[in-house]
Amino acid sequence: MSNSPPLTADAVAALAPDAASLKAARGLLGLKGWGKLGADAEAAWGECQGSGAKPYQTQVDLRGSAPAFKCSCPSRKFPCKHGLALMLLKLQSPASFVAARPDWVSEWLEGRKERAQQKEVKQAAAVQAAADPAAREARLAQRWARAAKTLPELKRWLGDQVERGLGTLDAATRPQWETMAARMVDAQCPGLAARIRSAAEHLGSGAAAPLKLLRELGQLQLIAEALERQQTLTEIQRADLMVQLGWPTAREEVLALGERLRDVWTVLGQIEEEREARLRERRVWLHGVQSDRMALLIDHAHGDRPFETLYLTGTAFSAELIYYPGSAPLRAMPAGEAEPAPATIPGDSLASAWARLAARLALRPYAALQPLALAGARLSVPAAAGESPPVCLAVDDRRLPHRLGRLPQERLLAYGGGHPLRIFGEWDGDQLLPLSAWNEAEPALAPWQVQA
Amino acid sequence: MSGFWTPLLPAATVGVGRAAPGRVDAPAAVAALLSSLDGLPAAERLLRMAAVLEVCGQAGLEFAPAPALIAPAAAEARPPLPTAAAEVLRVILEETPPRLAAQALAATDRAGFRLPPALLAPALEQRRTRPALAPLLDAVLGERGRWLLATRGEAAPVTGTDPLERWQHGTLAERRAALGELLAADRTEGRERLRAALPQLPASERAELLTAVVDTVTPEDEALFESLLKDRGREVRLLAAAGLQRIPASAWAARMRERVRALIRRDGRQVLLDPPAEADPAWSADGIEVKRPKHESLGERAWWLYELGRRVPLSVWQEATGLDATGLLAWAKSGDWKDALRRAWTESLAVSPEPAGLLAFGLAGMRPWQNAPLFERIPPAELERFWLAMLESRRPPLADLLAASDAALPIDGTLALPLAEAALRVYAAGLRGERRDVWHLAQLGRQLSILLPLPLLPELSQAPGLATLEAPSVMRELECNLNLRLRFAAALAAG
Repeated sequence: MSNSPPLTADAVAALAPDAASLKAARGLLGLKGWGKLGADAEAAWGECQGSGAKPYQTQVDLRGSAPAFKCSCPSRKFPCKHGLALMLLKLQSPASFVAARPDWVSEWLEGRKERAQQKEVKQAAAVQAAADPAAREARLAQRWARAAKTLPELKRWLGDQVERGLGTLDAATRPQWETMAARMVDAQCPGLAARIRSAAEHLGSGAAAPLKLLRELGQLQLIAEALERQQTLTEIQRADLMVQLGWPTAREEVLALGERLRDVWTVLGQIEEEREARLRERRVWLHGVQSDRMALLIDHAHGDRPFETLYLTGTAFSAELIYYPGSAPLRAMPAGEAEPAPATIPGDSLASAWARLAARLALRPYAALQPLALAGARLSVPAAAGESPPVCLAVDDRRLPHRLGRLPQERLLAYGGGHPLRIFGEWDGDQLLPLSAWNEAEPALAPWQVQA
Repeated sequence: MSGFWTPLLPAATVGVGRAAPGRVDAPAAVAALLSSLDGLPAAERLLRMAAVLEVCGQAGLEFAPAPALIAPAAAEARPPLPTAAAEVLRVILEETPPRLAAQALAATDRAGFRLPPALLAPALEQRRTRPALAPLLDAVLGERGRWLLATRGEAAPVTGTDPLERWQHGTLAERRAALGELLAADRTEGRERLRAALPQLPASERAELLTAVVDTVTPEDEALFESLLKDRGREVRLLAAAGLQRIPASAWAARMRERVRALIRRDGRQVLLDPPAEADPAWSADGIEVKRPKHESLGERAWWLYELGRRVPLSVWQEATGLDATGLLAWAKSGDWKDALRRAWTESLAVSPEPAGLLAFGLAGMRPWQNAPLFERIPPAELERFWLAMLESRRPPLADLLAASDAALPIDGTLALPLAEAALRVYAAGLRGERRDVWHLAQLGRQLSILLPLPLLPELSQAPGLATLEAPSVMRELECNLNLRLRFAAALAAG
């Protein structure tokens, strides 16, 4: 399936930071409040009359993979309603965008370019430092030593749990597990702490609890054994293990050591989730048209702060990505400039999707979110009454467990009408969370997205 | 997948000291890997088996067969609403009063469009929360929308669950609604079901259910009402009388006409009124309240006059006196029984509305339409003439007009053009007025933004003085309504 990158009203709506901003933007769609509207291949601009005497200067940089916004209004929302309205207006009344590019737009565009260049120079120096293997080894030696010291305790604890019997554990066991998680934090292995904490969620969850707990403990066992043998692991395998332990990978290290891949990247799907303490995590999944590789961009932002770059699901850009070091890597970060390009939506049969997943697991056996791009998926209800669950996601005549909320599920049902879909989503080991979908029968329809 | 895990579960659940993991029936490579763990200490062996199964289980995961699914949505006969119009409609559906949503849906239907898929989920939500919109929504759901309804098992209308079931087992409110449906389907059968149920019910429930019959009364209901005039419950008796009053050909109505005629004498050109001097024992049997309520301002004879007088249409008074409605009002004013008569007639008009009578009363500053949905029973053309006359008389009960029209018009309707123009003129005059009630004017403007037909909206938005009304929340709604209606119409025309 091929899509050229159309910047539809839906796509602009998807850029809104929240529903209120979008609604406010729609309220600004009368041409009356706008002056000096203009656009060229690089940018769009206009002046919007706000409550003050001086109109707000609103501008959008159209050069990158997704529009970048700037507005002189005091709103802390990003993009603000003026920026969104400007884009919607441009779609609605392109003929009204006739004003010549003013200086304030040229200056901003120039400034953005300069800043990007400066950033590159600065990074180059840091990257050089990170590339020195001796210095890197010295930095990590202490961490490995501390982790090794805590290993016997972790193994003993794991053994204790299965000696006692997982059926005897209940919610009252949680403080003990929390103590163990805290010990892992002390040993600077926050990844292990997070795993123990998420496993503890299953304590006291009824008859299914022993199986769920055993699976979680199995994963911890896997990491513990890898840690035990870390000196015999390859550099790449150690990098995988470091991710499991929760050791951060410095940006410079990625730049110095990561695999670089230039391709046309289609934005397959994205999701924003709230982590602890108002920290928002955004995952953007990309697919390389030529390489047929997946990539995952993870960004974080605090409170209402915007993410640095916006991505439009269903559009594509040509750019170089750098994968984080690791086996069958998925996580990546963009490098350098991005140019808009035609998008291609991939779709596997269930069998080949699983073959890919299995190949990744063979290289890197730790549990992680797995991207699945499936063709011919149907979301519908069983013909026979009383079947459970009532809404079924069928791929190649198999039922794929999914975890769509009621409203997104209803929207996806409406979007598909029971016809075959190309679905992209995250497999968490038990269920698929569809992030986006394309109607195979109606390629002109803008994609469905889980967060709309 | 959990099949692989089953042999491990007893040991995992009770502890490896009490049970050993069983043999896992896995593919050869996995089985070999698992058996290489034999001989390890029990706890470590179980944990390692879990590690192997967790990874291999994921890699070799097999899914259950999917059940047969319902057929996909059929091909659409209509094109989808253009994107720009759909954008506006989404806002209209979710954020405006039902009438605006209804107007937009009807316009969508008239233009031959259907709702695009992105609007279907919000549309069905509206269908659930605002059942009045359902028929209009259903017309523009398209095949996709109908399919979506089928996925919820809602292919039938929302009220489609068996009314008989709800009548037999529902709560009082459900029974009242179900009775309405049963009566609509088969009046005789519905009525007989009610008649059979009444003896077992307390008076308050008898009265509540009876309202379903009174609201939709037909001449065939006479016998039921007659029998209920003897009911033990006072409320039931009053309702029975109210039902009979709505059947002009009933024996009860004839008795009431006779009683009223007997009060009037004509002496040459003079018309004389003799209110009852004492109560007739037969009155009670016809549901008339003989005993004057405490705190009633009317005297005893005036009360009886009122009780009898309000039970007949105004036309009975007109025939008996030879006076028209205006003449009746003047006649009452000149006599001693003015209060009782005016009250009786006002209520009579509310039950049996007559445009001429309404106009006369309206011009005299009385408002028989207050507290009564009487306008539903007047033909729209007559109603329009009535309001035009009211508006032109410079007695502008604009708020009454708008409230009454809102109640009487179909859910997607707007005021007819001449009436709307008159209403707008009256409103504009109000805006220019010296002592303006700002909040009231803003409210009227908001209602006009919903009820005026499309061509008059620009005139409303530019009405001098409108912009200066300081009632921020109402004015925001007004502007929003105007803006959305105009934008939707423009987008629809452009598409």
